[in-house]
Amino acid sequence: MKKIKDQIRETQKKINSIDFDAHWYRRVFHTFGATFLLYYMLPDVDWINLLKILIPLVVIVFAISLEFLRLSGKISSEHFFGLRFYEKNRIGSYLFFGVAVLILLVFFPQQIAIPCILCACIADPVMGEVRLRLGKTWVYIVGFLICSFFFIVTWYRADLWILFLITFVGAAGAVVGEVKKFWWLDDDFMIQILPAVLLLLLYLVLNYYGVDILPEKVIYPGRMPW
Amino acid sequence: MVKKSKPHDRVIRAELLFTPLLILLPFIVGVALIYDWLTRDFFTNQLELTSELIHGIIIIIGNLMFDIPFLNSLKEAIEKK
Repeated sequence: MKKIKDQIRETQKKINSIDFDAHWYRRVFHTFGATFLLYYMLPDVDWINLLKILIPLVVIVFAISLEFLRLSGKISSEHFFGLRFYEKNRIGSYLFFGVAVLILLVFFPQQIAIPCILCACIADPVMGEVRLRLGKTWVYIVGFLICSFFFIVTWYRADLWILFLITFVGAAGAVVGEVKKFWWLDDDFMIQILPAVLLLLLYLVLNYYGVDILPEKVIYPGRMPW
Repeated sequence: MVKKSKPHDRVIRAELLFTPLLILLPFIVGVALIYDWLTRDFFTNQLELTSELIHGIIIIIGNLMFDIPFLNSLKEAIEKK
């Protein structure tokens, strides 16, 4: 027993003394966001549908409260690992990321939401690495190609002209949302919401003229095990 | 132990404790999507429906691309100490 306690103490000591670069942590945090697609796999049952709205809301309210406390100086920014220097005096990008995902999950059809979430979760960190290694010009090219891929695999069952239109508008919107920087509005929000809003407008306009462009759903709700 | 450590240390420790969750959860979701595709589409011969399979693979590969350098950087940091 004493040996185990000593080992635990030793491990804790080691963990406490580690100081590692937040760069890869931020990247992994982004890709982790793809986990939210689990939302669409939850069974379509009344009480689960209620939880689908309540739980993300509670999480976002909690995150907003944390940010409020941090910005008002009641919690030190040092407690927020991975925060960028310019985020010390403004809302953290993790909150923008979470709010955008919540908006997409709750208010947008999954055919629009899923590729936009994947753009933020996977294309964004890839574009970040490309910017670091190859320069800004390549960010546009690689970013556009990766985002296009996400729209193609989600919309591949739509008519060809719709597939082209959606892929171009969505990928261009995501790249513009990522590269256009605002101090007050984070790119983690823009890369998701800008293409989603553009596509929703396109969907509504075409729907008004009697053209339904939405293909089949990508992810279907699971069944209850009982 | 916690009282003695600096705030930054405590935060880093928390991040390390979150690592298994950050790494494993996306894999579980990816595998769940692939499993759903197998049971819903593949075994019912609806082979033209591959969205869930592709999205599952995207999630797994997308995470793997960044998990490996993250774990390597973590390993390096641990070995340095």
